Amino acid sequence: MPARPSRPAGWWLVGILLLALGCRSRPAEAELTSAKDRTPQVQSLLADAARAYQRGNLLLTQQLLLKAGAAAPDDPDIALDLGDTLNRLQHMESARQHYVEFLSRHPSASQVRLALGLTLMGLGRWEEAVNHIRRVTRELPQDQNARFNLGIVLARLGRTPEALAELRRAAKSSPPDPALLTELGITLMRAGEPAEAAKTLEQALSLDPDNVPALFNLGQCYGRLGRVDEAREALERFSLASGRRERYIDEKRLFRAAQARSDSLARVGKDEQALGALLAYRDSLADFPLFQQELGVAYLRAGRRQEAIAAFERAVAKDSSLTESHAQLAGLYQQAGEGDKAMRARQAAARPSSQGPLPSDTP
Amino acid sequence: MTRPLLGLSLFSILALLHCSGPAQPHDAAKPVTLQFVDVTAAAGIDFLHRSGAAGTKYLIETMGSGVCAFDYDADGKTDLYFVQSAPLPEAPTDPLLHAALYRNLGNGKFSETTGPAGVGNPGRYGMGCAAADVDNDGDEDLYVTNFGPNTLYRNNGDGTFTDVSRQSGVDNSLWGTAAAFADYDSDSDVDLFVGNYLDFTLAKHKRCGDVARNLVSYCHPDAYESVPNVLYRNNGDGTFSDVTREAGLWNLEGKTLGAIWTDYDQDGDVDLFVANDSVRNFLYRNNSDGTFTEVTLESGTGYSEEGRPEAGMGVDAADVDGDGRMDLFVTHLSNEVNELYLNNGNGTFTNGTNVAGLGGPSLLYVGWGTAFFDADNDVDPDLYVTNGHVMDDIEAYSDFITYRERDHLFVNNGTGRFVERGLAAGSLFREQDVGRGMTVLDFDLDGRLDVALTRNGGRARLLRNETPASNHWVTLRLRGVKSNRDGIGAWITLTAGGKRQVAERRSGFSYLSDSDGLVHFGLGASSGPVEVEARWPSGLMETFRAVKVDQISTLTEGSGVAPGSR
Repeated sequence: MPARPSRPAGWWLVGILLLALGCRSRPAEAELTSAKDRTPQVQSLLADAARAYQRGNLLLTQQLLLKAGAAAPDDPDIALDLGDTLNRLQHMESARQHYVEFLSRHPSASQVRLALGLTLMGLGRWEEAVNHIRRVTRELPQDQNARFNLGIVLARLGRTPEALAELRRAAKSSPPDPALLTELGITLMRAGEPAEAAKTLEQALSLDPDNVPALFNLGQCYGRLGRVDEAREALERFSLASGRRERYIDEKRLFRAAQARSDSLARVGKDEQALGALLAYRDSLADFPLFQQELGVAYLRAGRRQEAIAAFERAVAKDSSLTESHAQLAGLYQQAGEGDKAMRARQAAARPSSQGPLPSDTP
Repeated sequence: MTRPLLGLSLFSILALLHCSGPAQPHDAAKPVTLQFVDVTAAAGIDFLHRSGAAGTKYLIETMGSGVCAFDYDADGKTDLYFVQSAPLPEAPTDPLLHAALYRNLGNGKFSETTGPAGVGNPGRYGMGCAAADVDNDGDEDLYVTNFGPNTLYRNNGDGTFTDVSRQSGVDNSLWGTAAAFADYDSDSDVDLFVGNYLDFTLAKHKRCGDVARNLVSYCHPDAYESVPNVLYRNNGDGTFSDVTREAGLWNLEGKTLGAIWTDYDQDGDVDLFVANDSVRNFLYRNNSDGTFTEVTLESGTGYSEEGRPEAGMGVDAADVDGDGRMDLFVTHLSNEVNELYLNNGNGTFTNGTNVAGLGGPSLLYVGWGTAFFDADNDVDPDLYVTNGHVMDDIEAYSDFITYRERDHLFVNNGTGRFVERGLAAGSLFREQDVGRGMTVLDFDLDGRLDVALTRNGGRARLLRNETPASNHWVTLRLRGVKSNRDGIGAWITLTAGGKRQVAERRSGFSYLSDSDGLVHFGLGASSGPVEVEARWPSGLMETFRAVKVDQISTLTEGSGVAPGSR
């Protein structure tokens, strides 16, 4: 004779039933929207935001993205861009709250969850970051970017064997990537495997010869392996590459100062003084492409077209990915009746930009 | 999903955020009972640091100041000296503003004796200090770094000091920060390293901040050029010679805030580690011939794990992982982590920050003064870091970093892994303040190491260690005979309960600060026997047997037995 359910077992079944009812009554996740769903108004806001971003005006970028996000609240790309902008403004806590709010409506938005995980890393909330990023790797097992980031945060937590496993999996399943290989090399060093670390770092450097972290760690690696001459050579290369990077960071900081000074004057209609503020940095920032672009814009504001053209030309000569400079040149060439040059500039402006964002300034 | 707008990559966010190291150790920490009680008022210490700030935001305002623990009257009780700043042009003048020397009365109380002692450093914008017996006459002299000419106070042996800065030749006039004494040339007197920070004068002040928002802020050190540090050789006649160039320490790339002498390669002479702000650190190996070789790059101690120079502030060295070698620790700015460099014993170091669990807790904090010390006498060094941001308006730039920050107390779990336990260790750790200087002393002679702190623009603090005292300890006072009288630079190996520990007698560490010069070891449950091996700066190695437990013992050079003899 079958046993009758005992009282506790009966309660257990009731619990499951209630849980099932609770799940059924939970509101369905709102549907995510995408670029094709955007209204012209949203598209216009995003275009303005992109321009503001390229000019380094993060506050305006944030305002425009907030408006776009309000008009398209279920668009994960806009949510990601707003979060990125908040992070760059050093408003990481706001970024975290923004992502959490979006995820409360769209728990399946894995890329937003990954962005939340990265923001939590920046906030030093590493264990929480692991939880979110690991969930993304489960939801999107093919996303090696998520796996790579999981490896990084585990490594930062000192959980070296776990980190190594994730990084190795990511490396195995992705096209060779210098950042991933560098992180894997560093983690291998930490795990006490300098020979494999050296090979991995060498591979990273074959893809990106000026990779500063890879050069630094390869030098250390060779040192530990007793390969003294190779260590010296790697560290010399590191010093050179590091010096170049430091120079870039110095120039970027200087550029930000020049831009802020000029912007504050331009905002109150003092275009000549705004131009003068930039020109004060002419010598020290001559080789910084974004400075030349900014100078072009200031010349335009001051009605000095020929000098503007020259500045934009200098900008694209130093960095061909500066689409704003190409676009400005297209218009200026057109006005000057130089149709061929205008066409080429328009084509260059339409090319996808490889220009990475400027790292945000540490105050 | 495509990213049509800004093209920001998630990979790049990592670089942006400088996420370089967090961590709680994965394994459980041992039970922790550390307790520190703020006894500042009860002890009669009433020192208020005044930066002279009046809105101009001179960079010097936010950098001070240090604290020195030393026994100025040689009565066996550690006294305290707090460095003071000075009025600045726009600030209301205060002719009475001065540093403060507090004499330890031995009953838990201190009495200020600055005036009679003559060490007020009046009119000088003080930064840091270090104490040592520079003339080997049996009492501790005091060196004070200033924004402007530094000060050397010679101890007269009667409770008073004489300012001998000029005649001794150590009145370096740059912006002095760290000071550290050691006998680098093994000639039986202590020499002096002085770290200098930036090529800054009030006339060279730059206006920094966010122009668009009309925010005036303290400048990043990149706004100013670096200046060279100085090594002074003690001539043994009350004067010093600047030997920076011939010793190989002339370096125009440093922006020094921290310095420590330590024999990292255990070859019997002291080497020098220098923490620099926003440029690489320097590690100088002593060549044993009066010169040094910079070995920063190959040692791996100059940069973060990603090869990035960081904002080095305070430094300390200790054998964190029990392998008998000195490891290095440097505190840093927020968005960087405090770095632990583990000594591999072959001239190289491994960045052990993450594995030790010291990265994550420090990520959002600006660390300054720091010290390794066995706070619970359980046979491993714990770690204190005092925090506080550089920028008093940082909240205008960031929504997750604050100007006032709480201090950190890290407990070592015996394997070189640390867990931050400040919040459970006393009310001070729940306070937000602007930490700068920090030192360790045993002011109440109970064998539990106490802590003294300075705050920028705030009141100094004294924390009494009230951790339940179940563990045993040994404290050593060194007396050099052939070596410098303080025995500075001596390497001590203690064996008790089957465990070996190492320590060095130093002068100058942390941030702008100096400790009491006693060498302290926790013994855990072991009540002996305790054997101590001393390697003196003179080269003499000797063993002291049956060193008494739970008390301070004096080891006099030459009074031990040869190692290995019975």
